[in-house]
Amino acid sequence: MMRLCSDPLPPILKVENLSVSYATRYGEVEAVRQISFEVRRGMTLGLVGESGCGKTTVAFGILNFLGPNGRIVEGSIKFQGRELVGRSEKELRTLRGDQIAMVYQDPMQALNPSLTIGEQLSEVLIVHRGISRADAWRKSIDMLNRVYMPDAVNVMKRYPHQLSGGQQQRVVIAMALLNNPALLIMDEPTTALDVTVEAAVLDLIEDLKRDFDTGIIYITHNLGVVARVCDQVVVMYAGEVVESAPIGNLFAHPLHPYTQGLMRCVPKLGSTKEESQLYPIRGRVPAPQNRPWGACVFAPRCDYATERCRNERPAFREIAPGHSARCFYAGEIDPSAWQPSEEADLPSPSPKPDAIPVQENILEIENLKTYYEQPSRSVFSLFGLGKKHYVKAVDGVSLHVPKGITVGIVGESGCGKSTLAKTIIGLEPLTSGTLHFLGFDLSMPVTRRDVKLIQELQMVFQNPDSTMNPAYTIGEQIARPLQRFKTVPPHQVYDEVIRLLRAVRLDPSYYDRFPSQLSGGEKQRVGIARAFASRPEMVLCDEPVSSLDVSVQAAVLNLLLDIQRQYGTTMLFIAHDLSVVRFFSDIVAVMYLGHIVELGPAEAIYMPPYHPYTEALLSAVPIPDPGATQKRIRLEGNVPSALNPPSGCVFHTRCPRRNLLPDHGLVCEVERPPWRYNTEQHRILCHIPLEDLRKMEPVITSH
Amino acid sequence: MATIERVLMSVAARRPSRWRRLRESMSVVLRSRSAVVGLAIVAFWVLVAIFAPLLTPYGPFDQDYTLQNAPPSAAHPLGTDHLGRDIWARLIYGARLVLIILPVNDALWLPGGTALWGVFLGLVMGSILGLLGGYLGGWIDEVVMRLLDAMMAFPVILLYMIIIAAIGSSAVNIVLAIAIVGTPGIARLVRSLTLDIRTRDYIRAAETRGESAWYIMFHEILPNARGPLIVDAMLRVGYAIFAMGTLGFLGLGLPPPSPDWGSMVAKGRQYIVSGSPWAALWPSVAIASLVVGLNLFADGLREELARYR
Repeated sequence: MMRLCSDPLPPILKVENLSVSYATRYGEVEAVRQISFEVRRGMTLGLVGESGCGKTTVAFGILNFLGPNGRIVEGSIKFQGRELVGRSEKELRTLRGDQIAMVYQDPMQALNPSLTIGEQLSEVLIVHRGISRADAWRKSIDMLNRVYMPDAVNVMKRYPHQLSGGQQQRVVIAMALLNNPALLIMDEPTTALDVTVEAAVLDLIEDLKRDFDTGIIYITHNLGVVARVCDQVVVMYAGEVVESAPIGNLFAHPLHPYTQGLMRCVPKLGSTKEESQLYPIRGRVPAPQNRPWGACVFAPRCDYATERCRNERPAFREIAPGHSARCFYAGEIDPSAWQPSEEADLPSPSPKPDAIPVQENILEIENLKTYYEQPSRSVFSLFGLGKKHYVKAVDGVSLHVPKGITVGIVGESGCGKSTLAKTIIGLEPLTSGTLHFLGFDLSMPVTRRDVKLIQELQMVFQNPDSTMNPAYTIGEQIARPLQRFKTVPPHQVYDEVIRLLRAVRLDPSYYDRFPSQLSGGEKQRVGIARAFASRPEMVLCDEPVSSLDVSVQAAVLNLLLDIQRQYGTTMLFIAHDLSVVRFFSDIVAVMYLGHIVELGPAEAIYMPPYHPYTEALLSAVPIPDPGATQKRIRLEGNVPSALNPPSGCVFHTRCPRRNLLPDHGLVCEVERPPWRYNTEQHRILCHIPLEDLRKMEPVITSH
Repeated sequence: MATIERVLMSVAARRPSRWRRLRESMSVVLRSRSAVVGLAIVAFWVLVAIFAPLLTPYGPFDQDYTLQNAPPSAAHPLGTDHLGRDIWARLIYGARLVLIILPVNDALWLPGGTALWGVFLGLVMGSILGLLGGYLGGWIDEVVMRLLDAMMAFPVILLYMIIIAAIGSSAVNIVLAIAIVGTPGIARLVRSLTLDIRTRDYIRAAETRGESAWYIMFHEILPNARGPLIVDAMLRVGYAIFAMGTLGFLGLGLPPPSPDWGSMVAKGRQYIVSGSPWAALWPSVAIASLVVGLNLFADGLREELARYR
């Protein structure tokens, strides 16, 4: 921080009073208004805010990628001291040259699927630098090594689809760095990646900052990621900068009510639903043409708003050295004295039961296996003679779910958590094992189950954009399960739909709306209403909040909690976000490659003894607290293919703790590990004795 | 930009009722210049076909032996053919056969023209086959698609001729021929749309409710395939009109003396060299303009739909 303040060098990028607008069918709409910030060498600037706040527009404004309907209305963008605004495309090219690079969210979109990695990387050098093919090839390998790509020489010969998501993103970053840019813009580069991969990419970004002395603009919505990689943070809301601060100050003393609100939305790792609450920010980000320009843009959602905020636009002013906010009352507000307002919808508090009550099990899964047959390319298989290959998506899972409990399932993508849910609900046929729900056999597909049984088991889906059928109104879609399961007599269906809409905090006027008229959070609420319409005993939630903004996520989690408490519903909650799972679940199961490797009460999972995999997951979670220290355990390689899972313990190929065992963990490769019972309810699937696992230090220590 | 666009879109999409929805989609059509031109041409033909008796004093079969192969004049705006029939009258009564009425037999006339009925039947058959193959998959898909592939292996015009030669030439049989020839293409389109739509979560949600395959195919999938299907159907009406013209020209169209555009061209063709090209020219212009109009309309609609997706 001191270095930043006393840096004598001019900034690489200085954006002043930048406003960008788009021509839409509503006329000219200002998407970004009077943004100012600067980026220096070796510094990472975080651009944070919910979707629709104009973060990406700023990035595209800098790159002049605004498209045919966007333009810069006013302001200046100085890159290395030279003005970019108002220049022609040709002039820009010479000014900017290859000095600004951008990394996008989805690496697969940035790479050409029909060219090898080597061709794509060396082409950048051949075109921009005009060096020979052999030189370019050699330099590309160097660059891949610098982004810690394992086996760089061979990766050069592969095609993008042959690499994992994390490796692809490394290639994209390497490509961006090949020209040694002065400025690197990264737009949500880790959002599409698993936590463990994300952690490795974030480590890489930190190293790059040091090695390349590049200025980085890092766009993200994740406060945990910001805390890990950024030096300086600019918080954006509805097209304006509302707060700008060095990272430490921002988390210690957030000044703007929006920043404070954002921090109350995310569950801290280790917090639970019994002892803490999530406080969503009410309302939603206004659309660009509906923003109150003559007033504080956040006033309609702010708990501190006064008459002045609604009539006058606050100036962006410095409150503490290097720490500015756009709020009349910044510095006067004491966030610790904050109380939720009356109209905030918060779940009714429930006392924490002393122990998980010994209830009858509603769902009993014994040694469940779900295999997919992999079509073989051999000639023999044409005649049915070839050896059949199976993807072992779920491979011997046993799980008992007591009534009224929430079981969280965590794991990286491809660990089989979604397949497990699909098998339970009957969308995938099970290969072997038994499945009992309310004492009834569930081993047949959903089409052959009894309607009464189907009604008791419902599901909430991940993607809000596809969870609703775009062809029907909200009311029709909630009414359908009511009609199908005859939950209420036909003449009461309308009233019941309205009641359900109210239960998920939506106005009855939503009955006649179409899904395209709803925001992501609202669609997810309707999805919840639809799942709860038949009053099921158990609801499976497959990543219900992972594609929502944090403030919306908090509201949806609160809603789920409230409905669950009201109906006493049992839930299976699948997520990859460990803090959310910890917050939401009573029991947590950690899955890896089709196996449950650790199972126990939520608080036990997050404290030693851990399974080595759980430990690695915990050390990868980005924590929204720059003061906390996290042990740095990074898994090597990728999740092995479920087509041919490793022998013995499935985790042995990546396990960082194998060396605790004699012979470097030879036994892990040969033998299936036993269940080790820490307590009656907490068990770990590992060869390492419990005593050794207990001796491990906690992964996260906060100060 | 992607994010901001999405926000704008979601706001743009806030429509309170189905009526506003219809108006919005009309405004989408009217925004595209090619769609407006296409719509104007199609509307012209539909209107003259509906009001045909009011637009000409002649009937399509009225002959005037004193005036054969006459050039355009005040009495006959487009001239007369070799039997002295008014070409304008025959053209607009011919448009009726294409767009407005289907003569099943002498007593029964159904509303909706030959081309429209053909495409409609093709849509019904193609949708059913495409939904079955796309949603159920497996061996049903294999069997259905291979059969349709076999049909597509025939050149279209050959297929028309085989069908008409086999079942005879009448309005209903032309409808059947258009439907049969159109089915494989429509089935392929519906199948590909189904393969995409069936991966959506709302299909999963319907399956977890234990809905029947029939319900999922026709209530959950088909309404969402509507947009591309409408565009495709419009293009197909154009092809059907073209095919009717071709069949008529080859003598396989509606039996004479029906004012069939294709057979009008075929008859008029003989008198082009002898100095009266009118009888061949006007029906050709009619076929071309209607087909081009439908194509323009469909293309404009597709572009606008894609832009606001």
